[in-house]
Amino acid sequence: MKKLSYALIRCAPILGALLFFCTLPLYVRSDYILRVFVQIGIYVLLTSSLNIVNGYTGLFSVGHAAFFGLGAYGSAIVCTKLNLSFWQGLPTGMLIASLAAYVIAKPTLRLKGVFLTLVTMGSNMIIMLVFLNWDSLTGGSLGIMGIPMPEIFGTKFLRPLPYYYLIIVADILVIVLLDRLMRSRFGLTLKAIREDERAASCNGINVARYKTMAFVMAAVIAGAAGSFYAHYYRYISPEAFNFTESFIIVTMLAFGGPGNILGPVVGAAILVGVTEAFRAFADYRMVFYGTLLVLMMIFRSKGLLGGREYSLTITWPPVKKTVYSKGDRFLDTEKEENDEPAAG
Amino acid sequence: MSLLQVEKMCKDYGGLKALSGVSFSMEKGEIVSIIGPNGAGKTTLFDCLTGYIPKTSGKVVFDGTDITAYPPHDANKAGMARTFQQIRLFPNLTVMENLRVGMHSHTRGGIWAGIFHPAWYRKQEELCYRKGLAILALFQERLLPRVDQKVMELSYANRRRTEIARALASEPKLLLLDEPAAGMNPHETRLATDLIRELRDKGNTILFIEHDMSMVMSVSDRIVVLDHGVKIAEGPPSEIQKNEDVLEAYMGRREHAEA
Repeated sequence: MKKLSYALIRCAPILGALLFFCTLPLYVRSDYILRVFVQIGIYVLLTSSLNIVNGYTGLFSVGHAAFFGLGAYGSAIVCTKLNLSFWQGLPTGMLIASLAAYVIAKPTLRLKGVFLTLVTMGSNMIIMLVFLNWDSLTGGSLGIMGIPMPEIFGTKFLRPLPYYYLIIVADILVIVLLDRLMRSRFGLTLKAIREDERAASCNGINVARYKTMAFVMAAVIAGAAGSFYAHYYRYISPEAFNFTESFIIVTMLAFGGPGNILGPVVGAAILVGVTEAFRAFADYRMVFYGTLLVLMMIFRSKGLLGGREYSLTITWPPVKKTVYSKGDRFLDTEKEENDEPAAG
Repeated sequence: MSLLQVEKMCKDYGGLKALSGVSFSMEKGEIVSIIGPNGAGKTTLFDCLTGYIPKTSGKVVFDGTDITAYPPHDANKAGMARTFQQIRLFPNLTVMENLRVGMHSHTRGGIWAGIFHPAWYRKQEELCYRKGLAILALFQERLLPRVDQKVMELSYANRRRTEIARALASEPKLLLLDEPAAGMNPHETRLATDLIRELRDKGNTILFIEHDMSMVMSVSDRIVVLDHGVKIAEGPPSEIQKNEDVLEAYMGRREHAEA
């Protein structure tokens, strides 16, 4: 009983968020607002997955829309051609995205810095061109229409409400699991690679292997986001997954704060929200994003939430911090030690 | 059976021979220092030993295994841990997290363990934390109160100490220290010397590069002298101090000096 109450207190922020978002439709009775939330939810998934690669592992991928597109097309194609349901399309999309990520990552993650960035950009373009030109499978520039909407217990998702719940659950699940993961040995290893790749390898970390794992994991989540997207809009076309889309995801992450578990949420919510609020100026969207990215890099290069990491759980019962007394023996040297080192 | 055996190690950078045919061996529990003028190839030797840069030719046998072709992470797993001349810590991670990364080789836990935190994983992390504290205790008040501080907030000397602590965290059979006293004042150098002695008393084997002669002469069992990538002398401190070749390498030829 005591254990359970402790666990409840620890997870209070998560449960609070879950409660808030689940009851939100009771006060907000507008389908339009819910649609915006669904859109934000899809971008939160995408940005969170890019956060694994760009924020935690310190790579700079600008081709994330490729995996988003693979998830969407994979899911849409099996559902329309083989008459499968959303629940079968979703894992298929994730699988296809992860396989593609593995094939791209395996030979190229040995590259460093800007070369890797160029490879991710190129692979995004190649995958987009495949969508555009493989007419028999992808419908070419016409895209795929009539993607089935998800069903649960025989009820179709006709209005945005059930979709809203689906995406909220997916978002919270992904964020909570990533939060746990990034504070574990695995997450620490990724952070070590971000901080200093060569030092990481000298500390026993197989850098190429961990980079591949991070990349594939990000692709799996992006693939899931793609599948949600395809079955929500029920129509997909290649333009939705081009380089511009990747750039939007990168901007959201840079805006919110890379390497921070809540950065993607803040970035996606604000950027989608602002875009919706200024719908009349939709044509200038990319100008706005570009300007924002430039300004962020100048004034707050670590993103809105900065480089600090937040925990989603409360430490409970509170841990007493061990107080170390300063031994007298060392006090006399404390001052000179904190001075700048003498030359040589 | 010696712990480390280096045979005819060569490293060329194009036409430049950074190392040519360096051989030496180390026994368990020994402290060996490598000295030599700037550009003698000391750090290159370290880099080649740990697989950090590929060797041109030569052979490294460590603890009975041929590790010549090992990449750095496998060399670490085999039991080598090193520090760097230019400190290479993980600046945005805390002192304890840095140590935890140092324990990477002999712990496990991937994506599933990271998400579900099974009992064995929690136990392992608990053990790692306690082991980390035990290692930091070697540095007493220097590092213990700063366990949860980010490394970039530490002073220079404390960063050097953290790097040594991180290397120790991997329970190495051989500890390679690249200029542990570089940039330290005489008092801190003395503390570093004491630390190396303490580590030896605990049974560690240490190979280190150092320019501070008082430190080298007082702690090393043996000294290897490099000059222009060639080993010019090897022996206990008392012999090296009298060695003509070594004097020449450091001071120049006698006739030059007189002219």
